[in-house]
Amino acid sequence: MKPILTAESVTKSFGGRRVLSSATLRAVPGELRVMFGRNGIGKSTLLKIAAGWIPADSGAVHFNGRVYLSARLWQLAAAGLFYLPDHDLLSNAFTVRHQLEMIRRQFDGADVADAADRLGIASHLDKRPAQLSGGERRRAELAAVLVRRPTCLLADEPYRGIAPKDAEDLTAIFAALAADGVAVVITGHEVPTLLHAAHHITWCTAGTTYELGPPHIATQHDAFRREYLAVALGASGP
Amino acid sequence: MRSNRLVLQAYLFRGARLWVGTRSILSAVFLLAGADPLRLPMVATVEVVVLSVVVCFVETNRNRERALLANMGVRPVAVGALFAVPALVGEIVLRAVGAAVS
Repeated sequence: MKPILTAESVTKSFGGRRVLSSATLRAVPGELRVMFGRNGIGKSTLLKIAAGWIPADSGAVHFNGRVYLSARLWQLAAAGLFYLPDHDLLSNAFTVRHQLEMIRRQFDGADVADAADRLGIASHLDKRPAQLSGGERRRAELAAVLVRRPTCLLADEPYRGIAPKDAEDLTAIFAALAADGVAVVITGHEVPTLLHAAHHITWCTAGTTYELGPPHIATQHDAFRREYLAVALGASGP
Repeated sequence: MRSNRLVLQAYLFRGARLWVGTRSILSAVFLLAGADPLRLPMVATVEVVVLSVVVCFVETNRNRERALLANMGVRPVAVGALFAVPALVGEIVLRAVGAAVS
């Protein structure tokens, strides 16, 4: 299927240090794509550029049939994209219910109570995010995604700081979103969990990206195995 | 921005609350400086409105709401307009009161 979102030939430098030299990110409807890469290699930067959260030095974002030379998140969001940052999507100034309801009304979205039930946060709806644990906050943020019903979801390290049980539940939600036709791209280091759930692996390394294909093919890629998998699995092993 | 009552209420209320706070502090400063806070020159009035909007954006950043607003498709300029409305209305009312008192 054709990608709904493509961030193409992206370059980005910070303070003279080139982080991305020619990177591409694609999100395809019905696919859960996972972008792997070592810390500091530019995964989050590429995701932020694709979401219009930070500008690229060069490159373009194509979303839903339109080309954005300097994409802004509010533009892409209005067209169906949702960007889940690695922390702090929800404000501590309002309750979770208030924020989910704001999203629902903005986009004529899904029922707030249903989304909260599905994520197991129904009893926390009237709390502020600061009163929730890391895992509960992540669930609340994912409830926002369910309420929004986006066509494309970019989630940056959604597993950071959460318990293994929460990670399993989150993975099931991402897989369900993809099964519903949403184009999902996530980053993370939870190799076994993500390899099991992903339809497609993208490897971000040395300022560029490689489309490695389905997990069973990606894991046969020599350089990916040697330079990423061996390190990542070694770090998460006993 | 689509008309979303919850967003409008939340950000108009914040604009009003922070304008009251900002204006109160500035009025005390004007009084201490011997100026009448109800009869500010037009330039100073505009500066008060701009300062109120800046304070509102600082509060919005402090609450880390930029991603939430952007994900709702809300343009920053629309948020700024929501913050400016209560400050503008408040300043107009204060000028009217100042004119009536004199």
